[in-house]
Amino acid sequence: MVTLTIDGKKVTVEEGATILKAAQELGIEIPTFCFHDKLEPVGSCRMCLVEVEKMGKLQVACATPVSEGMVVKTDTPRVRAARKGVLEFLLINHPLDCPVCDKGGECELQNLVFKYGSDKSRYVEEKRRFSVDPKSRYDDLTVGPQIIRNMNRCILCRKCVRFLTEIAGEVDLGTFGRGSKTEIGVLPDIPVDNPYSGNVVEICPVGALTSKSFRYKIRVWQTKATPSICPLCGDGCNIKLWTKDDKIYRITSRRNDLVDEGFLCDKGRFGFGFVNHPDRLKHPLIKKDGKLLPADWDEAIELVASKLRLTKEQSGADCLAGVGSPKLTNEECYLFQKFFRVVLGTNNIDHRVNSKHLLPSPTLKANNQAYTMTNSISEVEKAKLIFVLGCDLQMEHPIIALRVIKSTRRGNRLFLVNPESTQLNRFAQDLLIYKKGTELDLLYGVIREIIEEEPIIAEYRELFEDELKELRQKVQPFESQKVSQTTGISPDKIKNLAHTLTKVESIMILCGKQISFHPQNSEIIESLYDLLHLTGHQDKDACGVNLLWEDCNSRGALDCGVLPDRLPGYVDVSDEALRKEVEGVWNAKIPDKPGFDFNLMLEAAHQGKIKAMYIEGADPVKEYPERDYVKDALKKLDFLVVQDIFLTETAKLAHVILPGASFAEKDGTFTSVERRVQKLGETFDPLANCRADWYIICMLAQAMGYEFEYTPPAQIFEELTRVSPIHSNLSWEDLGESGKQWVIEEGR
Amino acid sequence: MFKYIDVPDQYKIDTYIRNGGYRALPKALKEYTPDELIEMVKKSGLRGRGGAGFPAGLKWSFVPKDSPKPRFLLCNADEGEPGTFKDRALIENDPHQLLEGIIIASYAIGAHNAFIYIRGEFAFGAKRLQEAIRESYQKGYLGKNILESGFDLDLDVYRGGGAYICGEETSLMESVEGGRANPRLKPPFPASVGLYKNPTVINNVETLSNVPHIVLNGGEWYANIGMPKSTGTKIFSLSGHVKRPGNYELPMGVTLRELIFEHGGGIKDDRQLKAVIPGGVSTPVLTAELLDVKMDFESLYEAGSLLGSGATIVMDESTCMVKVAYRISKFFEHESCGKCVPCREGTRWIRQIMQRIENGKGREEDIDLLRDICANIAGKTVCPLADGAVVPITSTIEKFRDEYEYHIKHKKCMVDLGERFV
Repeated sequence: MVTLTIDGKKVTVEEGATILKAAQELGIEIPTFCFHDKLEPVGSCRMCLVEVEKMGKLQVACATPVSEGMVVKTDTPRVRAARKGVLEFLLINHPLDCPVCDKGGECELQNLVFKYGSDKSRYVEEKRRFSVDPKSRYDDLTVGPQIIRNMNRCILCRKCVRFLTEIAGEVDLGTFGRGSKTEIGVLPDIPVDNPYSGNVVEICPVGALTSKSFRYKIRVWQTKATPSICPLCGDGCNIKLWTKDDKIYRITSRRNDLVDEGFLCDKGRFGFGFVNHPDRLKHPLIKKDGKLLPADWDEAIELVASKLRLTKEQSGADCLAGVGSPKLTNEECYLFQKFFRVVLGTNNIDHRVNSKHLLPSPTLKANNQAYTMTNSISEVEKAKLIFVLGCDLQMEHPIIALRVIKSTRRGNRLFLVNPESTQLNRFAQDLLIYKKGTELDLLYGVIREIIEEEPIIAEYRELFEDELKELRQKVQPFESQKVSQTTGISPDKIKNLAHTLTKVESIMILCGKQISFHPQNSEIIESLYDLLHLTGHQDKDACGVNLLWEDCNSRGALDCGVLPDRLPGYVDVSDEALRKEVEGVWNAKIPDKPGFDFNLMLEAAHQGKIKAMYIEGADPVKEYPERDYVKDALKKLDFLVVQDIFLTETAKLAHVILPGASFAEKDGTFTSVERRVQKLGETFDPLANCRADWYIICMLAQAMGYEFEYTPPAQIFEELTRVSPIHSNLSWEDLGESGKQWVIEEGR
Repeated sequence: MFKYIDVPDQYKIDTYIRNGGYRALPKALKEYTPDELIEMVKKSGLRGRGGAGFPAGLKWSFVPKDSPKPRFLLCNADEGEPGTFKDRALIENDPHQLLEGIIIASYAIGAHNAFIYIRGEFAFGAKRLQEAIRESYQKGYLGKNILESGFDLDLDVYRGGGAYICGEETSLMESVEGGRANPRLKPPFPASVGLYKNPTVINNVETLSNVPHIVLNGGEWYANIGMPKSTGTKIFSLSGHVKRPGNYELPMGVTLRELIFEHGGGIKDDRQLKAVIPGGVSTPVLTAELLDVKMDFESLYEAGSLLGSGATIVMDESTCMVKVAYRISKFFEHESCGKCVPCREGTRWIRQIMQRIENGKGREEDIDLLRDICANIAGKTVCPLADGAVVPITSTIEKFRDEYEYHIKHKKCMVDLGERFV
């Protein structure tokens, strides 16, 4: 630790810290333009110059390391003059077109000139202009599908280029020319077209880089920012929704260093069009004579309630089935399963409509970790080897992919094992492309190789003698030559993978869709655990097997018990003692036999055993691998109610459609891949005549004579924490701004 | 260094050896430890000849002894300071002298890889060096186990990126690494974090060309030449209005008068001397009264200027100092790398104002504005380029303010440019 004095105040900071960091500890503001704490300092804007005793020249606070006894002054006439000088230099050629600049109102140049600059200009020469086209009035240049560049406004902090090269590993934006002619630009025919391009707009301190989607739409100060969570994948990036009059204008990052570090993917940043889409359902619809006609809520709710009641009375509760969705909030998932279990009295509940191969439900004690992300996103870059199996990481989890890219750029190793080429290929030190479906063969081959050829840690040999024997027997037939024929990967490469895994300090295994939907999914995951065991990485830091679920609340839908055999928190419905505890909280009986999962529901519907179905937020017709099979099943139902925000293919088959609300229109929580429970914020009331999905369930329950009175979703969440063992250490208040993870039980 | 500069075949290894070359190298490798060599160079008082005059031995001693990282020696042959043409002469005419210096220096700092970063435009020089390196490998002065001493060194020529800034040491390293020649922040200094983040020593061509002579004759011998704190000889690139422009190797501390009038043959056409820029365009201009100033680091500093690279630009009475300053301001605007704000924006603004004054559109307040802009640039940039850019402006305003005022008032030069410009 080093102690120094800044503006007369003493502060102790870590060795190697910069003056800027130390000043921040003291709450002393030092203005900057080119500084970004996730990027290497370059000290080029010269805005942060400060006086350091015994150093002749002013020093850049952003890059000058502190030293013991250093005396820094940040507010002397010399420092003020330097800042004023820098701002003058920046302004002389800046177009001062603030009235038509998107950045107006949140421009760092504006703000710092306001604070430290002069109110007069001494510049009488002609301003520099970067003309791109004589016809272009504002010298705007399209540099990518989303990005517009205006070089006249650029102050050349190069944060855009630095972000792309240092963190995203992209080189599509570059610095061209020299001196006062320096430009940020692109090569001909190579646009800025990468999954993280939008970050350069947010990172730009001025209006030099703007996004097509937000340009010239509205002044920023007329919009309101609401904190929320990105709904487009399971990574759980923290976002701000910028809205006015029930319309989203843009999304920016709400930096959470544990999750996104202040960066978003373009999908999340620009993909909000669905919220205000004209095709949104605007009111309930009831099918009359084959036509879907508008209805009011009372009529629709009454119809659904009476149909469900009637079916239950005539055919029994197990003729009813409910399909939830990994896109709904935890509170909605929880209420949905509670509605089915308590109000309708059946365990026929599921949400996994996109695969025929469902993983066994996790059990509370033994291995609730097996099918989740066991590590945290922030740990990714700590692993010396990232082993990606069956996952197009950049497509499925762009922000985890960004961590992986960053990690490889800092010297860690990426081993990519996929059935096809992916965007991450160019960052991988090792790359294997196997024949789709042969994952298990490959893993058994590798395990065999490790057992036969590589030294296995002594501890494992001693402690797990029996297991080793069993494992050896299991993988015995998977000799590398043979595995090579099945998988298409040469024996050398299999040997190399085995060798690599035993040699590295830490291994983080990331698996994606190819694994979660795999016919042998549970065997694959088991053998990945065997791999970790064998190589001695079981309980080490930044090591683990991570199954990455796809949707924004895939984790939460599982956690909250939208499963036929598990109550919230993976409580087995067949476990009488545990079930009784939940019944106590709910003050109701819960059926004790597991219900149908989605595959069984379809089968049962085909056989006429399921008569009514309530689908909330899912579109199985589109998502299930066999489209016609689902369609036929749903057509056989006596009654189908679909709750969604669009008229999906599934909704078209419904007898009643209830218009739900998008993530922007409700409070609640999502649980991200890394088990982080994070709050959404209601940005505006549900649009038109829509209702929040949790509220619709409450209405239905009440119509069926049950008290489901939860005013804000916070109350639902509190009930969840009382029912679900995995959520028991959480509370609504504690979630705060950056969320909380639920903790994995020890052991497997 | 210039003893054999005019021998036609001196660039060939055999001629170099015949004239006493490659005698310092075996001596250095066999008779001295690296530390003893560094001590010897320290004792010689040799100071960097690139412009800053940093003691060479001290620089070598900054390389961390215990670092497990590889070390590099970089020879800065990106001679770009306007008025300077000494390194080119050394490279083209006596390349082995430089090579010998490089090998000894590499041995002293424990580098096994050395690079000569030669100015991109010096195509001929680069070829000469490559040929010399080839010869040197053949004779066993480079490569593995040099002269059976157990010391290995590989030497490569890297042709520069074609910008003035490439000669700034940290930009030079960026350029070698394949990046834009933009300066890095210091600290860390190259001696600890240099090329590819490894300890690196970077020396000028002339500095390294001195090394074999120091090794052959001893540090004390060298220290006895020249001045107490500016030791040895210096190659002065004499240019401008003199009868015999050219490179002159003279002891440090030679007077400006002797350089111009004895060696340079006096002012061209026997006009009156008006001003001298003594160390390349980034050094302050001297007026004719200072003709007896000694040409060494200390004396010139006391006289209000700098020795710089020793490029002495002589200007006679027919020179318009405003035009000189304008011309130089164009150079620095063109050569600013654009990384940091004061230099990028300031050099352009200065040129704009100078151009306006030159074109007869100056305003009275422009002189103070120029001085103020210069004050906002000086000492506030990443590298010394901008400090060099403001010097010609501030020093010409200081010494020749009347010419500026005349220009602004009368919209023309104070001096009669004479027939030469008609």
